[in-house]
Amino acid sequence: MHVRRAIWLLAAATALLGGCAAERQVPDSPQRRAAEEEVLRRWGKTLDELPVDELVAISPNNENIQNEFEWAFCLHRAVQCGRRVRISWRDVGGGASSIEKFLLNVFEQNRRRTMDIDVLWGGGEFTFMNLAKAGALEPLDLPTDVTANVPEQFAGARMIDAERRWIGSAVSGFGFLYNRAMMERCGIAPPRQWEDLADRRFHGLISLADPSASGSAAAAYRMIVISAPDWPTGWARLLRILANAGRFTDSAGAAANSPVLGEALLATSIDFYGAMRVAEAPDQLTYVSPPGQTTFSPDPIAVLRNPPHRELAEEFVRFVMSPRGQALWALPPGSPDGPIRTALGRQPIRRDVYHALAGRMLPWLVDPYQPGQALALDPSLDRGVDFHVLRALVYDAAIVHRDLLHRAGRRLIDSGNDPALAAIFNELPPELSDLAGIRRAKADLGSADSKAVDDLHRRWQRFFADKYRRILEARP
Amino acid sequence: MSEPRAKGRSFLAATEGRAAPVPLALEGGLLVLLAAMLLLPIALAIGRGFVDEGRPSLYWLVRTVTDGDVLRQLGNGVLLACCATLLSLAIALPPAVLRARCRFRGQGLLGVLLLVPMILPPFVGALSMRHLFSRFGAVNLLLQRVGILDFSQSLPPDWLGTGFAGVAVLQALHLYPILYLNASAALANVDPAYAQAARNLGAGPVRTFFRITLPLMRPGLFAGGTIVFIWSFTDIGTPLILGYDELAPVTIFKQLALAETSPGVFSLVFVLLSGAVGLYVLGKFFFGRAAAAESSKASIAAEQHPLGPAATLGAWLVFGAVLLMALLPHAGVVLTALSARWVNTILPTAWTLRHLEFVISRGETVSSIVNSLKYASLSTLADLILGGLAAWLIVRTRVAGRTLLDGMSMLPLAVPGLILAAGYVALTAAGPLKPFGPFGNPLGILVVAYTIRRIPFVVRGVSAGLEQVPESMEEAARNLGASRAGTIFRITLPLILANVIAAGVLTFAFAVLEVSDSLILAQQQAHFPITKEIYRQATSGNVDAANIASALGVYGMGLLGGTLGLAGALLGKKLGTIFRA
Repeated sequence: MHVRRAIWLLAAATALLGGCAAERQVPDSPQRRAAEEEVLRRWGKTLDELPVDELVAISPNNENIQNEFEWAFCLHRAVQCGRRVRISWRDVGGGASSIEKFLLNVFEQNRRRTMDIDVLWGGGEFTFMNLAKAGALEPLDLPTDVTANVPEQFAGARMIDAERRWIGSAVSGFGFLYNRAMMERCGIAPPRQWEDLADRRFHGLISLADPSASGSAAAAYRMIVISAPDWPTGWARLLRILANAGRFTDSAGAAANSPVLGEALLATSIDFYGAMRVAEAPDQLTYVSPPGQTTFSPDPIAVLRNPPHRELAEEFVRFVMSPRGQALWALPPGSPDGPIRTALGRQPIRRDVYHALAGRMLPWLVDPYQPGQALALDPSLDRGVDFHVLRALVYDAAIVHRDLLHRAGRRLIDSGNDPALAAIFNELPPELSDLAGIRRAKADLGSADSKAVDDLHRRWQRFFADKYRRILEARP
Repeated sequence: MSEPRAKGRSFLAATEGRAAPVPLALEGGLLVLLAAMLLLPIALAIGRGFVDEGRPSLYWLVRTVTDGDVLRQLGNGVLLACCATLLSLAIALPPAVLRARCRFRGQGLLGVLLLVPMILPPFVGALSMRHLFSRFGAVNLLLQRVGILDFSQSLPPDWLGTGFAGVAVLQALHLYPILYLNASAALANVDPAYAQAARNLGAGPVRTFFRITLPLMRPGLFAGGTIVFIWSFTDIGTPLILGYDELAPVTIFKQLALAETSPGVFSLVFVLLSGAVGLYVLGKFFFGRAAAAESSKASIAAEQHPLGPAATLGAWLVFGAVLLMALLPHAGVVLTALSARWVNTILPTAWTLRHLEFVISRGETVSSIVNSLKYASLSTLADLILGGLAAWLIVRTRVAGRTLLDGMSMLPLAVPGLILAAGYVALTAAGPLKPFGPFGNPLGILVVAYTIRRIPFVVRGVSAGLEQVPESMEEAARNLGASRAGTIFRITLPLILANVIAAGVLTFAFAVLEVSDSLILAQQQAHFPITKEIYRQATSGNVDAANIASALGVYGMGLLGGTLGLAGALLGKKLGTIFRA
């Protein structure tokens, strides 16, 4: 009796789930209806009757971005070619760093022939530089209207690869998101500049992303350093901020969620993460890109070596870089050429789009190419502070010894910023005291000798642990 | 008494060494299967830690074991596992004893409700606990509202602190049902005659419990305690979500995610494995030596004391306190799934069903649920067959190498899923197995990974049942002419059915909740199980990441709650007593 009842229940549940299962289709929307009319007129078929091509992509971009671009590309292609497209999004359970490692492994396993994936999209430019260096990217054939509207370099960052193996599809700035209402409740003055994040009033109240897991966080830390007059001052500023961290998260998005969840008052954040959160609670939260202290970095796209669907991959890149694709970043949902369901809220990389969409874009988006937005960089500092060395240094100084660092920072604050303790706190490993040292460390970290690399990390980790202990053991 | 015993020995003799080719062949087959499913991937995962400059070397291992940070992390892991296990025991034991020894209104309902914490992956619970217990979270806002805290005078306390206490509490709240089930089963199998004898000889109830009952429960408590201890020792998800990184498994997880992985991390994997296995052996030596000789199936029914209204209220308060704590993460998940806006307030200020509607309207959610059901069902079936067979060989036969089989079948408890998954990826990276790897259809490796990770549950559960069923019953059947297979299916299996079902339900539930294997081995949306889908959403960085992950968590809870309901439909009134064999 009970067994029979259970079997009926099981069968009903399976049928229900099976009946619900559906592929990711373009939702009903004005965009879809307009495309359907055009498809019927041009091709004499309904949208669902068109044949489907498959594209394989891998991306750390969130699902909203993936959905909106897949739907828009599908409608665009249905109208233009009479064929739909379905994108198979691969997921390896991590951000850009994990994807890079995964792709390099697969590339090696396949004897550097292919990765069986068509397109890589999103993440920091350093990931794309590494993959290009490994020979894992195809050269792109970019239309002239694209290359004419995307600068080679902007605010110190490369926006397009010199050999055209990758190109930025959007630009991101960095700033900080803070819980303004809670700060008022606690009687804490809000921050205005990067230096403010190192202030004692924020000790233990900042949420930061671990740069070994988040490429964008690593880029943000580099920006804090290069916004200072020189390398030792920049590093000291960054270390004070790291000592103020109450929490390190595994992704930049998770850090930006901390002030919303009440875990922290403040978090460093990519501009669009910050702006999207402010849009949810504008009376409580504030995002600031410190004027004149912000650099912008590209969110690149590339075709991977020997892709299984080469033509479609190239077509997708062209679509993302077209005015139509760029408009998806900036327009509110529901507007013509805008996303169907969710505002993506990111800054297009094409200069011409800011003029074409003026007055229609989401209110928080600013034109980064306007004078005064970007940080004026000291070129030697910009070239000298290597991304990989800084990421490794932050890992060894702050992530491995977070508790020691936090306590040492507290001790420094309690001492009234005692000059002797501050001098110890600001010390760098001797070999990294200048930019030439960073260049040498870059070569050492890139060595194929695992033992030498491991030794270097251990030396740095010991150096930082020792100096934090010296501060903690110093007599008041 | 002496004659059947002698004949019983002859029955057992039939399973010894050369005289028992069938058990020996079965054992050999099982060992080969376990080696292929477990040792080969582990060897692939840790092999790099024993190679230096292309030659075998202990260089990295020596470096790892002499590293102060590694030793500190291992120490933290042991401390965390001890705290989580003791906390689980403290939570599980009072209701288990109350339920076994007393009779009161609502007893069955409360017994089932206590299992509810199992239906939520702890990392999802951790997500909501952060919203409740963080420095500016709901609890502190409530304390401010009632005037206990004043934010303008001093910063409110951070209840989660470094994360250690939060991780231990969350693990205990998630894992205590394992100890509760084991304690209930052990209590039901303790012969009440012993306790009665102690009471007749003048011992009080407390003294009787600690001197007689508790020692007799030892095998059951050890079985549950081992699972909780090693689960906590090798957990990744909860510490990651709560931001407590001072643990070796978390270091391994993060190191493996780095673009440049040092061989040192693979020797750390080896050290972690050795630590987990060593602690298990140590625990078994001190606490788990079989009390089977003294323990037997109850000869008389346990006497349950009916409770009066006041005592019933007290019992409800004990259960209620446990449930209140244990269901807090679930409540948080439901609140987060339903909130449209929850910033700087005790409760959400706007409510919506859109997150729940959105996730269920996605084909991805539905396919992840179907996938989870598929993987978990297949792996549970495989677990019951392989684990049941292993338990029978270990407990009921004298074939050579049983200890090895016991050790091998327990080893998965000490292997973080991440390591095993990394091994499976390596195994299917190239060659004929490639189509079964993460880039082909990973159903095979996911089912194998789920199976191997849960096999200890079945071996432990079925072994405990077999140890508590007197062999004399099987011997009697054999003496009366029953075949060996007939004896197993007609006598042994019905007697241990509750253990088998309990192990099956646990195995299924934990397979559905599996995180590490799912994160690594499911790399295409079409093959995601629900935990991967939840993790993906939770870490997406989206502004509504917590809401969407929680909405998926609500459906996940429904799925596992449905499993328990299905078990109820299957077993009817027996559901409340399946753990009381």
